[in-house]
Amino acid sequence: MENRIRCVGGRRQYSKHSRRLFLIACFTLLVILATVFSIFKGTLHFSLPDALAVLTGNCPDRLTRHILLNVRLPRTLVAALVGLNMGIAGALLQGLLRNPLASPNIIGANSGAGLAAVIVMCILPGNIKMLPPAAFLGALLAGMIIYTLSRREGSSSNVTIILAGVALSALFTAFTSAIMILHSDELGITYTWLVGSLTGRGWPYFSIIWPYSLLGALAAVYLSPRINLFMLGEEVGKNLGLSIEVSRFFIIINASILAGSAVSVAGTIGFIGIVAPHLARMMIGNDYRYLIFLSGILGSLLLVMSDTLARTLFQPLEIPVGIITATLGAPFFFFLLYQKRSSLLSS
Amino acid sequence: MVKSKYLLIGFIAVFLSAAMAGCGTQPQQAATDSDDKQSEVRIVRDDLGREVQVPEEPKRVLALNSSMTEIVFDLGVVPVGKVSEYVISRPEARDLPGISFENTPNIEMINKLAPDLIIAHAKNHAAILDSLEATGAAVVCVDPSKAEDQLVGRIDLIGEVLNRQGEAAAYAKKVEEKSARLREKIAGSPIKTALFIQGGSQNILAAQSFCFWGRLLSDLGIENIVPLKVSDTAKSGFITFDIETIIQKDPDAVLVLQPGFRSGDGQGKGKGQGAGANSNGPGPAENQSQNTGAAKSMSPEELLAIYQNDPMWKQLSAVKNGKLIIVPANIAPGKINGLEALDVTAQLIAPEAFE
Repeated sequence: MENRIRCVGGRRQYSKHSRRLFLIACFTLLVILATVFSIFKGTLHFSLPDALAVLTGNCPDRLTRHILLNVRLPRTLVAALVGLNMGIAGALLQGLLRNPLASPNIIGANSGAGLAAVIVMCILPGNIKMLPPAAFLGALLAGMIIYTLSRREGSSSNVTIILAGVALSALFTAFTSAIMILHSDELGITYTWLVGSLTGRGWPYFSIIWPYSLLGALAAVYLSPRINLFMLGEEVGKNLGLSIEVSRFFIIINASILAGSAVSVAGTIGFIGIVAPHLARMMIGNDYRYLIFLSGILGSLLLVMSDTLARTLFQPLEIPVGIITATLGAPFFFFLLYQKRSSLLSS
Repeated sequence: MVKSKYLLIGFIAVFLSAAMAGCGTQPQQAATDSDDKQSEVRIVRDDLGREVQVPEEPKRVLALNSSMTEIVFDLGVVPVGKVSEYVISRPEARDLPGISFENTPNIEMINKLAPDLIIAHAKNHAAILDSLEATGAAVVCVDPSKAEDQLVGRIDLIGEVLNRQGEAAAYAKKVEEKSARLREKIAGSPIKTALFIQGGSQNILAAQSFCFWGRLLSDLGIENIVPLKVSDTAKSGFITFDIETIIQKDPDAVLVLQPGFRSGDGQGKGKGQGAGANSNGPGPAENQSQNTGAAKSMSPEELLAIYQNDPMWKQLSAVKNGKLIIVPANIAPGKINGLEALDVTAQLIAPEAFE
């Protein structure tokens, strides 16, 4: 009897595992399809043979080659990596803080990077090449300040992290607004950056982000079993051998690196960091060994598709991609609200 | 739970289909190969301090900013495209292809237009310089805030880039002469001091003397009550200004810029627009029909009423004497030619001089 139960349990476990892997594989395929679709769609129309000729290296037309390989391909890849970073960073923070509303913004990634970027754009315009590293450092610094502020008597807690995050974000946002008001001639460009845009993001931006994406994603996979322990509560985690403070520090730093590198190349694109982990959780559950993967993949998918929309919806006009993600994010929250209300009513 | 999964799948499906539906195809074909660049080049130092090799005689010029596009036209060159913010109704500009907004230019369209020279904004486009240079064009970054006279902008640098220094000097001289003529014409007007503010805002945003609007006042011989260099950190054309100083200085006229000047709303040519508390300007109905964009948001009478009914403002001499003047939204760089802006402003300030 006992053997049978174990056998049935094991099979159920196996089928759950394979169903999750299947979902991850399906969405990975979707990301690849969305990337290909995004590369083939744009203001200029190229025939399929021309596009295939570019892929095989036999396209004689310089413009076709240039648009596909140097304009659309790097931009789409940057979108995919930015989405991946935001999705994973959001998932890490939601798990760490056990708060479904946590996003990279909670550790000051947006406000820290935003302040640094606005300083470069308004006060040091001659050093605009410094914008990506400055924004990255701004995000990282904000994460470290929040972690330091939240520590009390050698340890921090979810509540203190959130409170420190809210306070620091408000402070940084106030400084950002002050600089923008004093430099109102730069409002257009600073606001476009703060909304988030992928206009003109080519290979140099790809080379900025990919190392952080790779390292950050690998670190997130390594940290995912620890987040599972965090999800059980700190006391339980501690009893199971989890080093709470060390793990918390590394999770926050990793989320800061991921979000900071994303924000540094694309500006403060909102909602991906919240929506992607939520969607992933609804499909795959709370096990972070899988959730991390799917959050990143869904982040990529959402941003690649959003950017395709931003480029092509009103072509040849381009709208900042942050507008698209916010437009999609808001209905998603209505959906969550509807779902919560339904479950409350049924219970 | 099953229901919510269906809803989730529905959400993803709607998103994917919206993305695909938005991707309409453009029956445009790739443009010419731009390998036939000019063989002779010149070196020009741009506003980012870069030394750029530009063609001796650029043939296909593209400016990524509306005021720079206007300068290119002023120098007698027709660009190959325009940004969406460029709304000045020149016949040559009517059929030019659009390249999206100033802050989000469409790189594909720029590639398609195959320019041999791109005039970019030093602040707005520096972050995408690599993508612009990858088009094969020479990219010169221009910083409009470095212009000595905002009415003519960086015409000196753009003139040098286009190898039209003579035309640039002639245009600057024309603006100078026009200013002198108008100054003389309105010299008899009682208006000696003025303030240029952005209308429709709860905050008082006043134009500094160095900016386009402040320059309009000084070129017409009117003293701006906003002191020179209010703050070293304030680099913007408009700054927040306090009502107490305005009451204390009591300007002879207050010019109120209609809202929407940044958005590209001002479609009219500007001539004869604007209504004031003075009754000499054209009627409000005319304003509304000409300046469609601003009229959509707030009519000149509504805007006027805000200030006339405000206890803080109605004690000012300008309001009492009917010299609260509504200035059309298109009196802005890139929305109107500098020469025309001078004309319109002079007529609004002293309409009696033009009767």
